[in-house]
Amino acid sequence: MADIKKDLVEKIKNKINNNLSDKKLKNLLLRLIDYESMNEEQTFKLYKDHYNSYIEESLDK
Amino acid sequence: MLIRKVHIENYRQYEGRQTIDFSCDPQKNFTVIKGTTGTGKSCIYNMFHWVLYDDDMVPKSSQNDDIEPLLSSNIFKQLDFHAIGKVGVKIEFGNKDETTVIIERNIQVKKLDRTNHKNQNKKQKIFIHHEGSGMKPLESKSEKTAYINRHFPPEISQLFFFDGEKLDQFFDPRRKRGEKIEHFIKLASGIDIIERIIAHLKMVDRELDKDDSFDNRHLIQVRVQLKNDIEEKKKKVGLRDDVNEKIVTLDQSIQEAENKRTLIDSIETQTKRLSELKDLCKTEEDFIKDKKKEYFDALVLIGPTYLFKKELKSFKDRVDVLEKENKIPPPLDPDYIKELLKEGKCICGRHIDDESKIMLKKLVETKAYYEHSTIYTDGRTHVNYMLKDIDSFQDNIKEINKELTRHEKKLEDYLKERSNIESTLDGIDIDELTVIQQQLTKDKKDKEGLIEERGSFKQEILTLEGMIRDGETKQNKLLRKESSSQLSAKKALLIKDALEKLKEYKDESFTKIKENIQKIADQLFRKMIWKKDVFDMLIIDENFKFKVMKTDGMDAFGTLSAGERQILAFAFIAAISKVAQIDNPLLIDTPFGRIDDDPTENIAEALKDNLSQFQITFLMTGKEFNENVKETMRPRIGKYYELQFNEDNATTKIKEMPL
Repeated sequence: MADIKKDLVEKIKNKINNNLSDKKLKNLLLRLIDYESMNEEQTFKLYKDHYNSYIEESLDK
Repeated sequence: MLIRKVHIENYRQYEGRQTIDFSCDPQKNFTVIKGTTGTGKSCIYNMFHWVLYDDDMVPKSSQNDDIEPLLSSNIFKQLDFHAIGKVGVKIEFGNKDETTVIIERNIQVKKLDRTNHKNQNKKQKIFIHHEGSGMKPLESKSEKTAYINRHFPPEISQLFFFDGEKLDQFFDPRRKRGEKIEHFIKLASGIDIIERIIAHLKMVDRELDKDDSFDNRHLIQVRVQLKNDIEEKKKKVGLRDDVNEKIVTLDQSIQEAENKRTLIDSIETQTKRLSELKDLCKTEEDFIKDKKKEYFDALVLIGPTYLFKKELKSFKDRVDVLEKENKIPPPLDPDYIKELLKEGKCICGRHIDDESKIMLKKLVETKAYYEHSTIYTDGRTHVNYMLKDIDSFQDNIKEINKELTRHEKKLEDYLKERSNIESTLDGIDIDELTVIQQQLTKDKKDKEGLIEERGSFKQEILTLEGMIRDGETKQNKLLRKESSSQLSAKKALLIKDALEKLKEYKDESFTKIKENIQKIADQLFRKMIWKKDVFDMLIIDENFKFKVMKTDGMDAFGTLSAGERQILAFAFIAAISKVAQIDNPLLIDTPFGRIDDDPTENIAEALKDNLSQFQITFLMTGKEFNENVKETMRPRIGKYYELQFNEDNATTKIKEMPL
């Protein structure tokens, strides 16, 4: 049984993985894509903390 | 992914339990369910929406419990009031050989009265096949929702469940932009996720801007103030330490002076004592001198008598003895003596010789005899007195002597003590001690002053420490803010890069996907369309509107027949499914419902030849599934059902039919 969203997300992630050399940026984009693909539309209050932590973690890379 | 079976229980007109087996043969990928209008064709289309999305496709305005229930009307009619009828649909998905997912929805319909009902205990169940452990249910609602959203995204459900009668909605012809087409492309390509990330990142970036209000000048001011305070404190601490040092030195000096002062006190005491001793010695000496004089005076006075004391005592004792022996003559009258002389005889009768007579005559003549007739007794009395005096003097002398001895001893002690003190004080400079005493007083006074000064410094240091603490807190806060601001700047930069990259991906992917979809849709459309000489190219323009370019260069979209648009829709669905690699089955309700004039067998031909990768279920009317269409599609049809409607009880039976 195909997980449509998963397949689409994997395609995007593959593209980022293959084409992006900036580690910080790559890490951030992959984390954000994973987050958005695993979560339904969230309120700002809910997603901002996740976004900020992903951004901070990526800056440490 | 294939639909393997649908089990229906009392859903709408499908009374009792009925099952549809779908064709899972890749060579015969079509399942056709034929039914005339009103027999429950669309009901099958709707039940998929109901099971997956809890939407039975009845317009919301009429979706009330008092409208016709989901429960078979025939069953509902037979129910007693407050009795319950069960409705359920179970869909089995899987591959050619086995069921891997079961999604079912059940509901209980409670009959309230003849026409009204209440739905209750609505439940969706999803079972997933796990290798080795069989079918396992998803427990939580969120798990189920997530599963449906990932495998049957509701936003692109029209790509799986296609209603031929709602073709206009699909193409959205009333809008200037082909928003729906754009939406499908985005959703099917995952660009919606990129867009969501872009939107969310922009919000986070905006929030960062709000936070990033750091003013560096304030930090500089605080730092300068803090530096000044620290320096001032350092200065004060230095001063305080100096004072402390001075106090320590003073303390030492005071201690030394104090030690000396003990000596001074001792010397003072001894000096005082010495002075006293001098006086005492003088007093004693004077006293001894006086006493000695007294002693000698007494000695001179009594000395001679003392020499006769023995004789006096002897005299006294002799008189006492004579008295005792009555040998002391009584006092005689001279006339009597004269008579005795005359007689020549003594009282005792003895003869008085001449010598005695002469002596007696002399006595009588001098009358001494008479005058001193009491000489013995009187003499003894005097002697007694004398003896008493002598004894008294003797005692006095003894007493004086004793006293002298005592005072001499006293004087000796005084002299000894005096000598000791003089020996101790010998070599001590009293003046120096006075200077020390004065210095001590001064030191003590100075110390008091210093302690006061130190207290003042301490207070100032405390104040400065408070200021430093405040300054440090402020500085730390500002540093954190600065750090946060720097972090914000870094974050903003990363966000900017991410946004650029995402936009780049989005544009690039979107353009590429759109081009791919356009290319595949164009190929399929031109392959499927029967007027091959008329249509030259299919274009999805910048507004996501389809343009069907004719060979003469004109856009024919507006003049397409319903059948041609149907082909266009299929071409688009197939293209988007291929590009997005969606392998979900297609359920097409009344595929030719809007087609009046076009040769449906051509469409069927096109579907048969060009959508072979999909498992397709056609819900068709008899008119749609005419002999020509049937013949055209026959090679692909694996299962064929007819819906047999019983008008008497308004129920439908699903019957598999041979082709």
